[in-house]
Amino acid sequence: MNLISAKNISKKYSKLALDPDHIFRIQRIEKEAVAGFDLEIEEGEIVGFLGPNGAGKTTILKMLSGIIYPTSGEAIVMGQKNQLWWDLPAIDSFSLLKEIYEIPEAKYKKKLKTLMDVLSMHDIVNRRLRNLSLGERMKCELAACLLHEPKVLFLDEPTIGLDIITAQSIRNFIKEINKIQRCTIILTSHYMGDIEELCRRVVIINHGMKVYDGDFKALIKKYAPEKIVKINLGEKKDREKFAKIKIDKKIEDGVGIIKVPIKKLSGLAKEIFGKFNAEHITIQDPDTEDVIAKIYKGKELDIK
Amino acid sequence: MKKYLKIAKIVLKNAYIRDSKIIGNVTSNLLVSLTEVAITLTMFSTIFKNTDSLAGWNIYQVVFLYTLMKGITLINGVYARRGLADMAKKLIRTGEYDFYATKPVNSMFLVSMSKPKIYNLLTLFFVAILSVYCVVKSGMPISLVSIFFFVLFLLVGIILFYFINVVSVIPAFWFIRLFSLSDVVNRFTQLMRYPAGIYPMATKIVLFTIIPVLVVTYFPAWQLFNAPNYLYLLYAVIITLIFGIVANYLWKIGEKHYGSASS
Repeated sequence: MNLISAKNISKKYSKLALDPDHIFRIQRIEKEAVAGFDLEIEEGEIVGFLGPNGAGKTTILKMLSGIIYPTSGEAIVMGQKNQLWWDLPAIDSFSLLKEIYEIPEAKYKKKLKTLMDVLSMHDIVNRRLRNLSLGERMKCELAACLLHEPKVLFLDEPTIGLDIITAQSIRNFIKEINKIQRCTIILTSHYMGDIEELCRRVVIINHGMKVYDGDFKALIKKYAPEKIVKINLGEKKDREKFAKIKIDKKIEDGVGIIKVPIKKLSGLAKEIFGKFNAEHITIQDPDTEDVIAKIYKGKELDIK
Repeated sequence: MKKYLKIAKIVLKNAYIRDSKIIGNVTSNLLVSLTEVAITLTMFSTIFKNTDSLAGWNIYQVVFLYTLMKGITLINGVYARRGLADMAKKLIRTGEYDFYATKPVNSMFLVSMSKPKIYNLLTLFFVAILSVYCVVKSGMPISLVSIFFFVLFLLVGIILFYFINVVSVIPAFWFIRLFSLSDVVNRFTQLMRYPAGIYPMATKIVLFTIIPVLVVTYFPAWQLFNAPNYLYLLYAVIITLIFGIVANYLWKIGEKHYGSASS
């Protein structure tokens, strides 16, 4: 069942400004933030929105969540986004949300306990929000989002500014909630760790248009059809042997690096395992962030 | 309706919890408000040393009119003024309106209720005592029927004043940050403390129709000192309904222009 269905949605921003060439003339300046965007998402999916800054990810997210109206097209979504009140302890904001969403008392108490257990936030809900750290506030925000068991959760950069441990606990929580509630999740993030760990499907947006919608691993495979072979060159004789390998290579901080197409990997592996100690050799996939950066930088995003 | 009352109750409770931690702010606010009342009383006292009445109203009736204006603005401040001021100043500009746009509750109500100033009730208590004193000292005969109609006019006036304030902040949806219009309405509020008879005809027409602040205070005060006037009441109800419908309609159109802010 499609829980989100957006058809040809567009968003234009326009403003009136003085014409710099004719001081008494007013001109209308229009900017198209999103152009003809289609999207269908099924119940229980976790979909990542990727794209460079200013690509239109947040605008699309806000149109899907009903915060802003599309200039044309239609978006049908079941779900909402929340925010806590700055001057109050989270527990008071929760009780307000309970009334806003008309959650029965028993259900509210049960849900709150579950969320506090999973997010380990028993000791922070009674402190004023403004006195909490960013990570603690993010936990409270997530709990507030989920009190009324929404069908769709929109997360805009959920781990931005968080330390590694807190970010990991937030990711674990998102996975857990998706599993327990079959909650559809759409998230934007510049951290590939979030996308790699949470999303099987990604949508890449650039200049307000969808340039890719599909499997994340397939995308990486297409844009990184190579492996990286690293050899620790601690001894002089190893460096001499490395110099004789006839393929594009480089040395960084005493480590020999070879980017090899997957088709040629077995041939190269045979050669280097014959020449070097196996303990000094590692073969790895390219860094996902490098691959995505390569996609963003590409002039032609012909990856639909 | 029940849901909205529950939300209002929680918001006011939360405001009480918040304000009880900032007693210094509450006390200074009370002192400033009472000082303002004292200065205004001094001004009226000075005026009435030079004249016996203003458009036929004696000093106690005029001060009673002032206490009505003060009371209604204080009541408006309890539940709406700061929320609406935030709307004009920052909710649209910073994108904080997102919070209100996505709730299954009337966003106009939620924005209005977002920053209650519950300690206004302290000043209101003193103003209420002053208003009762003025009514007693005015020497005017007051019937129970007049009191009943006065309460009706007062309730309609409070609602109308709220809608006037709402309409004044709605342009923020288009202009992102717009406090000036809301500020103009606040200036008009000052005109609510004088009897309608002192104003020239053109000003009276504006103050009874376009920015109907005199309907808010003058009608209830007039009603207390005179026999019931059903036409006045009908007019007050109709203009309140018109402002209510216009406020709701413009708010909905404004929401469609809301562009939020980047993350």
